[in-house]
Amino acid sequence: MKRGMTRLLAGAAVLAALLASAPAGAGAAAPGQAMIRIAHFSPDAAYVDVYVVSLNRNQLFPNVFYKNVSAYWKVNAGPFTYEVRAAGASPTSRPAIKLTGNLQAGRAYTVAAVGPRTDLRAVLLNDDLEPTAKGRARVRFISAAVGLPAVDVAVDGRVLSPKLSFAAPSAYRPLRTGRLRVEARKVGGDQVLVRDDLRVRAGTVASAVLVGGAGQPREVFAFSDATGIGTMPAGGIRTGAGGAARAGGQGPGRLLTATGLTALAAAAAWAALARRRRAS
Amino acid sequence: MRRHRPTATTAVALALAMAVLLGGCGRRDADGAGAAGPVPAPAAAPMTATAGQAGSGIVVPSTRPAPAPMPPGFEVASLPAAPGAPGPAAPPAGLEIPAIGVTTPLDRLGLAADGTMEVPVDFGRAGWFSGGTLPGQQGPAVIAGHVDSRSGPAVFYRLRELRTGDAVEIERTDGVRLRFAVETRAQYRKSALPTAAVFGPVAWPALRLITCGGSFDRARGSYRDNLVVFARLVGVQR
Repeated sequence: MKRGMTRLLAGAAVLAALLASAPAGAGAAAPGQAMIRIAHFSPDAAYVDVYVVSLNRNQLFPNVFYKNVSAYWKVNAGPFTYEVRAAGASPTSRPAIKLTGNLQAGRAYTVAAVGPRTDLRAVLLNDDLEPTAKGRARVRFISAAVGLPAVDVAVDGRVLSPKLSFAAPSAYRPLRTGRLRVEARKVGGDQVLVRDDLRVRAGTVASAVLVGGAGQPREVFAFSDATGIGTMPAGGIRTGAGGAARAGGQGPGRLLTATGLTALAAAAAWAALARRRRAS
Repeated sequence: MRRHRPTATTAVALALAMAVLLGGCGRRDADGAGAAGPVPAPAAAPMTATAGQAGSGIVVPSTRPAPAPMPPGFEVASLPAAPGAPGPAAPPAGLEIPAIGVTTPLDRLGLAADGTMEVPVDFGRAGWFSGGTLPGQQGPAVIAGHVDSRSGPAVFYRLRELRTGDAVEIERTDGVRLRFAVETRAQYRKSALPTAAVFGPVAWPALRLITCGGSFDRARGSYRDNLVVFARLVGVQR
């Protein structure tokens, strides 16, 4: 009985240790959850009401305007719907656009309206919030400018994302930081259709969207997806001199922490084994 | 008492955050510097309403209309926190963690020659890693403090007692107070510190409080683990 209890405790301790070391509030959402945000890039369909219905949370953003981008919020992974209505329209009226999708746990998404109001479209973007290389930024490009043909996107004179077509995002590209010169050129040529500056910091993951048309100027509208530390410290952080550590070498937080619990579990298992040996 | 009821301040902060959120947090600066101010009025001339658009067209009001009747079961305007505290940023000056009785000024920490993070010289004070994010801006702001000195407990000795929801407050040099709430706590081997989780990109203003934990390696004169408390911004008080 005692031994069974010990084993049970050991198991529980191991489980607790596993739980304690589970992904810890990093950029991504907790397991079973996804992150989502809305954006609005239709130059002439404003104001609108945006409805996002997910498994555990129904969100209404009233009066969303051109170039509005929300922060992320967390929802349970699984099916969701996104609907856009003219601002003030009855929530039961037929939406102007509707998108249904499936959100995967641990991932981040941007759902956006693009196109002119006569041909409004919804796009669901997979956002990649992985860390940047040391001292660099990561940027993806999206064309949402009404009437703009497919373009080659060049940064500082070099084509980075060739043949970027409407509403189809490029992959995230590592970029130097500071002020960058962005050009959207006619595919395969030198003719510049949109020219703008982009400023990025080290450690930042960003989206740069070609917007405009339908009465709005064409420009690069950029916003950060997430921000990390450009040059991360190496190794551990030496924040203790041992004055409060026990003589046996055990430091503070022994009973409360993952490592402590793992050690406890090991000790319990060892004790159980030792008892069994002694008994035999 | 670990529950913090939303105060008028947090309500205002949330409203502000929401204003910033929908007010254009982008422009051309993707550097997360939080250049946004109060909600700008839509600069562009609003389009005139056109009735009876065909296809998937949408009829848009030409001025900001009254809100639609609220559908039951929907959260309206309860937006998540904006990517950064509104207004210009300023470095942190002090840290307060009421739940564990910590009140400390914050020193500036940089990177040592070997690429590791500097730690506070004074065991009684914590330090902010100035090579990282400013507290309140989008990204992980990092604060480190010793768990003990050679003779006994130091400023972050009780960091391990922090629980989800506990308040962590930072006062900036401009007097603005930032309120963070603890999300979680984890302990890692120093030799396997998951730098992406601790220092990697975050989509909101976050805080990492770091100290030592685990067993003490007397041969090396160092603890084997780092204890990391993860928190996120929940309120701003001017």
